[in-house]
Amino acid sequence: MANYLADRSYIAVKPQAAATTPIIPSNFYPLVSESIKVNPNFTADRRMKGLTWKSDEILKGSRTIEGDITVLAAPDVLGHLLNMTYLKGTTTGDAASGYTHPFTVGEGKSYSIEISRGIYAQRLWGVRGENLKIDFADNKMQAAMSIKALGQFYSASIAIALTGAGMTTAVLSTDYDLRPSDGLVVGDTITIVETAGTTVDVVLLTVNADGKTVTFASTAITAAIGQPIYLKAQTPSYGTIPEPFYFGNTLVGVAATSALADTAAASRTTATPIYTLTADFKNNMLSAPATGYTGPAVLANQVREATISLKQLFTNPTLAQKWIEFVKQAITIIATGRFIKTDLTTSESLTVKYHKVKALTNDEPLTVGEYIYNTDNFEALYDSVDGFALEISLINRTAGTSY
Amino acid sequence: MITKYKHKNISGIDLSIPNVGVVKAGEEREMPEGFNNVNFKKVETKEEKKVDLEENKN
Repeated sequence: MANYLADRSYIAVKPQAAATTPIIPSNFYPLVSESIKVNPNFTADRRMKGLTWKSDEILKGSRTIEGDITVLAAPDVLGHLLNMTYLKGTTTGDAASGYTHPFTVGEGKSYSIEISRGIYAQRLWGVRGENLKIDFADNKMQAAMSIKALGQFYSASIAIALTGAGMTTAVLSTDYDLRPSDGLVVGDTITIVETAGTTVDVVLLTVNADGKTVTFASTAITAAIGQPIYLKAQTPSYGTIPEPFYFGNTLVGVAATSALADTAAASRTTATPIYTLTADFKNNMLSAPATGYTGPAVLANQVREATISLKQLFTNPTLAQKWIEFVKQAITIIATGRFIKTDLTTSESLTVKYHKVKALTNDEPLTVGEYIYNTDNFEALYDSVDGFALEISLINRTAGTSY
Repeated sequence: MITKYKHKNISGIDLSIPNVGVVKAGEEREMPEGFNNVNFKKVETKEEKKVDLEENKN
């Protein structure tokens, strides 16, 4: 039996035109880790049946499809993560100078995401960003995204036997879902297992609206009821893979107002040296089960929130005073990447502006042999003066039409 | 005539394929068995079958 190294896997993403319309993802990015799970919430059937044994069957609960994806936060893939978390405004710029994408805390787009696992791919569709966490690992910016999906496809089985020459249709078993083919798209390659070790690949010509029938060009296939089919993994293809944003190229401005924080973050001399930085953006998404759906019918942002944690060297009690008296502060983070324009005047960059933050906790722990650090965990608040809680701007090499 | 298949890069950008290399935008290339990528379109090409002239002489 063949075995497969995880290093050969990929993540591919693409925004959907509508939340329930999957698409074949075509943008491939290197993946650090993922932990997405389909959880049918099976439980033992505990009805009284005259048995003294706990159960003789399991039953389905409400299905969830969720988990985490971690990537190095390179400018282009970060754009997709922000796009599935927040609302992208109008993109400006061009290929020569870079594209500027503004994001505000509106609804993000639904995505199709594909992750390969050996020979098959798992396609998640209707994917939205629940929680985006940005921090740094060994100088490299990492983005850990908790996602939720409306549905997924990776494997099913044949419900009606395929009997040899001239097969054009496959009907999928409804044991997992009454609409097992949801997630498949015209043009997908699916692999039908005839017998162990013998497979046939077919390219889908149609995915029937009945949710269980797919068609393909006439092909000789012999497969009994129950034989597995799966979505064939794509061969990944990469454009130029950019470097992630780096801790060392990131400046943090902390001041009384957002405008002053912008000024402070503009140069190393006025910025505040930060030793660890973790930013968390949450959508607290509605994902309740609904009639007609085994899982959620929609994924929609509820109350948005964000936190940011900054660790800096202790110099005086000012930060503790600002915490205890809950003084308003503003934070601007500017991470600068590679130059885009050939005259070195425009660069990849990520700017995050917190218009009003107040420290929830302030710690100055003492450790023998070490300098004293100050760690503030800030709650990002809505600033009624500026009319914002949060603004994010990303400059990269990807046109706005890709988002 | 021999029918062969190549894959054309329809993404509009140069793409790097693991164990294949860079395929320029619009370029057609023969790919390894099992190649499957939405950024490429399978195209049919016809090649004339080569005749072994030495064999014909004999």
